[in-house]
Amino acid sequence: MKTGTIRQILLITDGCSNQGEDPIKVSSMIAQKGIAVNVIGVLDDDQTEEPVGLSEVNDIANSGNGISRIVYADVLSETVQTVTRQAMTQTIQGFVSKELKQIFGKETNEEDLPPETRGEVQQVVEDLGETVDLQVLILVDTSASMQHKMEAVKDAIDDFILSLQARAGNHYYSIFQFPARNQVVKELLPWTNDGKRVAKVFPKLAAGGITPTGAALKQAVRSFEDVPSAEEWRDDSDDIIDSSYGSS
Amino acid sequence: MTSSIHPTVRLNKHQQLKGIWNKRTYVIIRLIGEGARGSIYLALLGNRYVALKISQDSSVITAEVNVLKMLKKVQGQPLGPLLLDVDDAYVSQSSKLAFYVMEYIDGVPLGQWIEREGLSWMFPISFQLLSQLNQLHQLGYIYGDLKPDNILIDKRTKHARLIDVGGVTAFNRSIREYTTWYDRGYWKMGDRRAEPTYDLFAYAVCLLNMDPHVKIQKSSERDILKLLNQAKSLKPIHHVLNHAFHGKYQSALEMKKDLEHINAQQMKKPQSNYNTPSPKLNVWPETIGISSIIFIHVALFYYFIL
Ligand SMILES: Nc1ncnc2c1ncn2[C@@H]1O[C@H](COP(=O)(O)OP(=O)(O)OP(=O)(O)O)[C@@H](O)[C@H]1O
Repeated sequence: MKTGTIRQILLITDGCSNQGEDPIKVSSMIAQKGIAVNVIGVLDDDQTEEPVGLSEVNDIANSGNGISRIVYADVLSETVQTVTRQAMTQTIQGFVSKELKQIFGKETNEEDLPPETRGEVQQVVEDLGETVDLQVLILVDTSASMQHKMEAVKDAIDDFILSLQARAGNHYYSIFQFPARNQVVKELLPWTNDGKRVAKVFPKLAAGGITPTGAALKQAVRSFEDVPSAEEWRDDSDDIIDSSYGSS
Repeated sequence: MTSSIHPTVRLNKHQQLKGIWNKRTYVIIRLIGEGARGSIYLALLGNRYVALKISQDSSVITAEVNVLKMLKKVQGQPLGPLLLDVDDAYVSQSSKLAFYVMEYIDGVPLGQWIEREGLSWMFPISFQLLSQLNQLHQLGYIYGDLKPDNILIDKRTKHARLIDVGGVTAFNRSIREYTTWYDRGYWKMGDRRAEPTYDLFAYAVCLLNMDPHVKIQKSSERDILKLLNQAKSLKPIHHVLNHAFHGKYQSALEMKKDLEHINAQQMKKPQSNYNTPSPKLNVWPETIGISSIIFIHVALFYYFIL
């Protein structure tokens, strides 16, 4: 895995997959490429906390080295951010413990260090978290039952981009939906760091019946190969930062 | 790897927590708070009451300890609770968790205090908080998650204290933690990058929230200026709030100065209508009765000792 860039998939769904490949298997394959798979399960207002169908949410994230949460739509915004941040910290801690191993010559967890030293390690983790480049592929389940949650999903993504823009490091995001008409997964927004483009994407979402989560993950992950090169990326993001200063 | 961990920790009454590194023993009294990042217990160290924060996620403890240590370096009035100890302990045979211990602040959250004691307290409390924020800003940090629940009024000293340092963020970084209603990003009034104006916006929302006419949580429209118009009890400070919402106060001291000015003006009025209690002349006719005179004296008192 390339250090300096953290790559994540954020899957927002409300049910269990019912077609095609096993999403848990796909997700562990994706994790092997150094991409973490985070999953948020969105509950209906009348649903109780952990319905059986949604347990898949935790399993996909587990095998994808990611974080999962099952929540009601009204706390989606904060959940998207917590999940992303935690997964990022987890990945960075992975790097850092490798470094520690080199220093101490044996397997060392942050927890094994005295509290004093831990503070310094934590500082490094936080600094990296703020400054590394971040690529997030947002994969939205648009099956029929998700339709009335779309407004909340849009708000959450808007809000998420606002937080990404505040980071010192660069970010790129893209949005995919599944299922789409005549295809498993459809790219709605190619890699960008322009926050204003979320609004244009959302009216286009159309409902579908089936939930081919595994296949959708498998196809969507290919797009990480299309991320603009680091050079282009830097230029772009500078633009964005400049133009967003004066606004609002 | 752990996904979807719940950071809260259940400890029993009278349970003893023995620090592995520093060897101090704490006796748990009761749970005082639980949040997204851990649990807080009232505990005894010898015969001293302390607040003990413990979490399943050790990085939460470490991060907050870093902040509390940084705040400790400040001279003068304390910013945040005083850090007393950092350690690990076995909470059961198999599970070792990180915790830290801080000064226990026996206080009342800002919202409750104002409800109980009256709106006129807003002045002395604001003066204290704004000068604390100013000190923090001088260090190059903002508080971040400013909201009434994170402001405790010490029952004994009647001084405002900031707790929960989880949102403290270095200038120009992205805000580490915030709460929807107090976040200017939510209201589309700015970004989430740490700068003093971010805290002052949040504090203005705290003030707005003191007005019984305003129901921020119930408003579906994201228009903070509209809400400001509903704040009838806060008329005298509308322009201060408006200024803060637009990010026009470059420092906490500027905002404090404007509030001091208004307070000084208010102070003159009640005396003149003390004998002729005409509602028109009253500063906040709907919320403050004759008893407010007492509080205004208290306000005056705080004004001078600061
Ligand atoms: N030093 C203290 N003295 C007394 N009470 C405290 C102290 N610190 C925290 N508390 C109480 O515990 C509650 C929870 O604390 P805190 O907000 O730090 O936890 P948290 O896990 O960060 O929660 P949140 O998710 O709300 O941020 C506070 O609202 C407050 O009432």
